[in-house]
Amino acid sequence: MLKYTGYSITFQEVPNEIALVFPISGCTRHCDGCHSPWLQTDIGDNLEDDFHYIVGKYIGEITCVCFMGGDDVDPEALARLIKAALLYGLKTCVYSGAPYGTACTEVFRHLERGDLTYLKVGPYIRELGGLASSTTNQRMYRWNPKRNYYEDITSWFWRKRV
Amino acid sequence: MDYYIRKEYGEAYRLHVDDIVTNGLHPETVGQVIDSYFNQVVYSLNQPAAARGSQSVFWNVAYFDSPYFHQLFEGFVFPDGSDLVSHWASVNWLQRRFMKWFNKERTKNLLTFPVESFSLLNDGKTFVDKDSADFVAEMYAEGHSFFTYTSDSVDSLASCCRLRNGIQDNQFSYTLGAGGVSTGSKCVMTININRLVQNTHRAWKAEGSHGDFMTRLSSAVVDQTELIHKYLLAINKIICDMRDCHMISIYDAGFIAPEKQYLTCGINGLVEGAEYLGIKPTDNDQYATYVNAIMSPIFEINKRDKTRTVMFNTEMVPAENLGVKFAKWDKKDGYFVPRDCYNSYFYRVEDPTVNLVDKFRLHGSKYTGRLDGGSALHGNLEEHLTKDQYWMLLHTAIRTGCNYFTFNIPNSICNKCGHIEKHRFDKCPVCGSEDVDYATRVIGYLSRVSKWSLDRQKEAARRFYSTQRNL
Repeated sequence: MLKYTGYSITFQEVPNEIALVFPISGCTRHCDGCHSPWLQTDIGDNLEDDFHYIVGKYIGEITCVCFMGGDDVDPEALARLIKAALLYGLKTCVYSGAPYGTACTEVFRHLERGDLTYLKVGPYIRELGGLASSTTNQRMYRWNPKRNYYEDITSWFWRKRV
Repeated sequence: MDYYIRKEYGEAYRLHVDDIVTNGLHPETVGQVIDSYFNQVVYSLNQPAAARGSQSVFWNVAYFDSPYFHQLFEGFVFPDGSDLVSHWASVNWLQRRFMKWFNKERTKNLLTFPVESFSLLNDGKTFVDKDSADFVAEMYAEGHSFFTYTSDSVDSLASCCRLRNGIQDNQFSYTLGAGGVSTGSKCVMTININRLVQNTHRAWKAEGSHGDFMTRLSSAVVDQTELIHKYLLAINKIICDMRDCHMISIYDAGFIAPEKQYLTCGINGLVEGAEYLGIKPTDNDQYATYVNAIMSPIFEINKRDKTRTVMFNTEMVPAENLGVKFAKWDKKDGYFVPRDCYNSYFYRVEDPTVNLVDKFRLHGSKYTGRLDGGSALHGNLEEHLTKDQYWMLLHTAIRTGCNYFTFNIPNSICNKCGHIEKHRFDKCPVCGSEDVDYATRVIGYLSRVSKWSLDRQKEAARRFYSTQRNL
């Protein structure tokens, strides 16, 4: 079961998208300096119960659904939710703290290639910084359907602001 | 301005922006001449004016999309017999140049005025003039902060933070040059909704809680509004007397007529009243019922009391100072006061669970439909968005019926070297000083947070800016 602790609509997490973000609790990574340490505990409500109600409330106004935090708690449920989001015509995104290579392997086992539009991988390492830092170890990938692979778009986060 | 530039530099001046047209040591191009005119207008109007207690004049600039422009200025003729609407391409070029110029100028100086509004016509689904809407999204993405007004008919205009004027007839008006748009309110008198709700609730309870509370609230609003209309009529009489004695020069000069100005019934403390009743000020049916129980009666009475010489409207007033005063007075008198400065919005500024889409809905037709004087959504954002994201949000505005809005991203100013950037920094990127100040809107206009009243500063600190990076 995936438990979530509220939701928000954000503009920065997924570049160029208006994303409905669900923070998922039960994260096992325990990164030092984690921005939301409460997600390391087992709190919140079952996301699958409320998912359709919340997405339905914002359908038309959002372009993407993003899951953040405990992605490895229940990969099957996560895959079901990603597929449900696709049926709404939305793009999908997972923020995973897993190291590159092992990331979300479980989730991918239950998904078609390209079902997941965006994927962030890499644990947070305080000295290297988050995605906005040019020294970060974290990577953001976007599915490129034309070329059939996930391209690295991390540098989008480093673009000069106006 | 376009007319005179055309007279000076030819009908197609916009195609010859880089032609040198002045002599001397520093020859200037057409574009530079135009920019120096912009400069002159903006900087001279931002000087302190003696008649306003050494504050600068409060002024607005309106931009129009093609349908608005054509509807408003159809039939307008210049003294030389040429018409205005056939020069749309030229005027449009000029208004865009001004917008770009002003956006850039704001990185040199913190210019409080003008407050800008861009009017866009929509057809219920998308924008009629796509090119203009595209330009609006582009300007937001370039970090410019201005208001957008959108409506599905060319029925009214908004300027600055709240004012919405019905465009009834297409007659000449001096305030905008042409087009039958005369703006303004003669006087605003504001109802403290929080106090009214609490008084009514106590009385209702004391009488044994008979009947529906919302009906009772509506009738209390009716009584209060009728009272306010009487006060406003008295003030109107005084203003008219003064006009008859030729004591008000703007009327004598014909800039505006008192019959064209509204008497305004203000609203403040709406959110606080809801909180007292235990209603969550978020997008929900209970809150919608509450809002309409208050707005509908005022709307109806405004309509009922309209005569040939007086008109009433309702505004969600900015309450720069009043929001603080109401809270202070209510606290002293033992009322429930949840914050030191009452909200000027339909939601709690400090509530992180109200996301931007919710805010659009709360300032959409469901809640503001009966607010004939208008209200403005201030979408507070931590960081600038992309053009695509703004484009989506412009459409969210159409779908929710939110017709007047802007996006606020705090600008930062270094107090040491004067460097300005259109986003938040804690340390000046140029000189490294940590003595920085932020500029955002109190309500309609941009100003330094440190210049605000103390309680307003506290409120600003509590404001929730969406999309903090959660990386």
